Amino acid sequence: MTPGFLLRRLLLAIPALLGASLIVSALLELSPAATSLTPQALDAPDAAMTAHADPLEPHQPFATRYLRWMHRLSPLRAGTQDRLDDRGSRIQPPPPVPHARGAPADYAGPAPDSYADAALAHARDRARYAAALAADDESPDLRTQADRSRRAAHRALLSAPLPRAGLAIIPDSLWLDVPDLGWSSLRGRPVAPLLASALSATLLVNCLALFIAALAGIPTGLLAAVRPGPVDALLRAVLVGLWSMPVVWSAVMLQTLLARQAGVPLFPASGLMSPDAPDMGLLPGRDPRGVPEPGLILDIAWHLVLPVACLSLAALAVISRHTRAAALEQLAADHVRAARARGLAGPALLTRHVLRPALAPLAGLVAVLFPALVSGSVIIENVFNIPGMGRLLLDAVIARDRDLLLGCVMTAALAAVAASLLADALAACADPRVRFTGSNG
Amino acid sequence: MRTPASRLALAWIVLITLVAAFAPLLASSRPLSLAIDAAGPRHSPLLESLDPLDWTLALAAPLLIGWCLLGGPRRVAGRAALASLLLALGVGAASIVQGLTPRPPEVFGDETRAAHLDLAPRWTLVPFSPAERSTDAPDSFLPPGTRTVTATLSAILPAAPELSDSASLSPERLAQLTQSLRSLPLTPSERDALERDLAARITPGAALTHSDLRAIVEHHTAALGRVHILGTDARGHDVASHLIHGCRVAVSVGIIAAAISTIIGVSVGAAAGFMGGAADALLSRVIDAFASIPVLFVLVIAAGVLPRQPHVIMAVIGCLTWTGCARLTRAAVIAVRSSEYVLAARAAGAGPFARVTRHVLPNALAPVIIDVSFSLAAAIVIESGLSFLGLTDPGSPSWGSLLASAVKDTGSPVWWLAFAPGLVLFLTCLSYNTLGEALRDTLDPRSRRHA
Repeated sequence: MTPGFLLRRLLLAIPALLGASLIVSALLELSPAATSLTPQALDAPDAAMTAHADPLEPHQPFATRYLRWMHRLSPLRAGTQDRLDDRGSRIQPPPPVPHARGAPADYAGPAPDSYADAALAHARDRARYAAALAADDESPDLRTQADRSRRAAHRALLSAPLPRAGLAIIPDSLWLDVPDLGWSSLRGRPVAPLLASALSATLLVNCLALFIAALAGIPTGLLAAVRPGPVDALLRAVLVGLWSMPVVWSAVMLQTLLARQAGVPLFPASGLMSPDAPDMGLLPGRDPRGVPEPGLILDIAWHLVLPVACLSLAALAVISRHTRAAALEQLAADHVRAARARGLAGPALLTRHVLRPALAPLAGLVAVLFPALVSGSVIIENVFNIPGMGRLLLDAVIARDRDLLLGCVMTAALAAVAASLLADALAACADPRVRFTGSNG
Repeated sequence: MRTPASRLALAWIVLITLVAAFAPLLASSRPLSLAIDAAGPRHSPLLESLDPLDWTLALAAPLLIGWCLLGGPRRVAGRAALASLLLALGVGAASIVQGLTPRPPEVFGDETRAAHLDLAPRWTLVPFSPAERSTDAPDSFLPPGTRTVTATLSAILPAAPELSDSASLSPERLAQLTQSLRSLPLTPSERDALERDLAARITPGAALTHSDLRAIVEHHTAALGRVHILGTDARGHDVASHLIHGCRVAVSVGIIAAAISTIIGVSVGAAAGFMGGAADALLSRVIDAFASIPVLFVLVIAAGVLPRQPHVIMAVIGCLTWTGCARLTRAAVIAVRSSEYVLAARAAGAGPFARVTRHVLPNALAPVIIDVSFSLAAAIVIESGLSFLGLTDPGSPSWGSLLASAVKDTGSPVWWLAFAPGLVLFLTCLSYNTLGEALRDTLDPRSRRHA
């Protein structure tokens, strides 16, 4: 995998990312209550749906807002540099005023809508605070000289200019910084860390599902290929059934039948781990009071059984079908006939002469299956209450959290690109003849 | 169409489509017929409430069935497939129009029914409207086979404000109530049994309370109530009625979304494949870009953000799932484009548009036809997923919202609430996929060896 190939694949992903972000921004623009919904409004979604965009929200044309968002995303940025506050975090413009209709009593004009305005406002607040401190200097509370000097140092810090974010190429006109995905008005935090934690949960579930599907699907596919007749027909019928099984139904049935408070309470009903899991050791053991506890790994595995089972069903069917087709093709090939003629049979023939060359086309399936699994996990995460991308997306949709939505879609699109790269890498491992030269990789 | 599996699949699809076409007739709280007075003509609140579109569908269905049967046994399968496709398109058009001009849900509620009890009403198959909420269990679910009684009873035995349930009834009041019981539409034997029971309890000296009377009457008039065959969901909606009306949503969303995605996919794919060169490169990039968009993510956003109407969901699903079809069409068109008959058409003076539509596409559509069947199944599953997440019109019945109600609204998960809608969804999806496989075996014999 040469750097040139990697670069070309990433460049080819740009139209998809652009398209996805443009579609999502346009959709949000079309929505009746663009970006003005807040958690408070969730209690009365109907009223919020009919309420028009916040009259107090600074109005800019769609193109301006979209370009501004793109600009924040690029590592090379023009204009005034972002400023950092005392704790070293970026000063963000505050979220829109949380009142869909009517201004609060102490409302003092539109909120600063750009990072520069927000930094200015922050600097102004600091100056006002420093002045207040100065006026308070003669207060009898400050008894010792140490107090006074600490106060003076604090004031000096407050009146110093705010530190700049990023790496300046030309100060305050051209600078480098990490892509900024914006601010989630729903959670009141920057988008990037929210996405990171959600993505890790989603990846955990999906990679496990893919692994288990491959583990079960490849042997069944091989079995179907070497046993034509009733076994093959039966497997084919079962697999079409699994393939048609809607994730919604399998998830709901498994949860209502096997999860806690259901018919056969075998598994936990929701979440990724027990509430007390963070205090557990990694491996099964006993807690300080001597009560046996499952340990973090076993606890998470226990919670993942049902969601992973639901997700891997359809993937299993697809993998098995493709394995069968590839194995049938190899079984009819000359090298297998030659191996048979040499007296090879049984597992050795199957694994080394049939499965080995069939692996290359199977590797390509990762690129197709992984995005499908991620789509399926939107449902799964909402049924089993797993804090992944799907849940985050649904929450963001209901609250019309623009930056968070765009971040979710970008992440999912990048995950699809990564999956196709992974598929190419796997194909290269499986078949050394594959070279990354063609325009399609 | 040769294998028993594909025949069964086709039969299920035809059944689902017919149920969708007849949905307002199959499940409604309005009585099929009422007698205004014993001698006079009966009239039908149900038929009077149907709108012209429902009438058209209900009349088109028998015509199409007749057309299928006229073809003789050899053509029945093909004609049935075509007829169910046409009927599904009709259902889709009807639900778009009805979604654009919504009417307030006309619920012929328990109170109205109770007032009509002496008119000898005859109900349809499922005597509940999807919008109707059970007065027996407004905020909890009822198990399958439960009879509605409360409202009927309270109409027969109006609550006496001056009496608590445990106070004994005065003789005058008792006489008045037994008089009102006489007018109940019971069969003579039922009436006899009721009067015998009442006579046994109304003896001088023994006090009869209001709740005693209620218990006796409840026992004997159970036949007057309606049965929730599949129970109700947590908000008191009848599950069977939701299932039947959900067929309409599923069939219409499936067919219209698949039609939109096929039209876009075939146009883009044919243009890319036939023009070649720079246009092909550009269109292929567009297809690639659309294909790597995380479709379900964008769908969830679109469904959540846009107005929640059926046509919006159809358009959104159709406009985001066309890439597979476009790729198939492009490959097939490239394979056919330089064959002799297309060259011959060109030599005969046919323009590019005529060559594509009359010579290339008819010979390149086999993979697309197979794909339509799979994309119908996919669209139905997507719709149920979106309604499961609560992103479709909350008022419109859908299989997905029934599934959601099984896990979300009830205090504890109830498997039987999810079983019926999920099974119907699964069977529909399985049928379309089986049909797709059968079509592939028929139209694309090369793949039979592998798949």
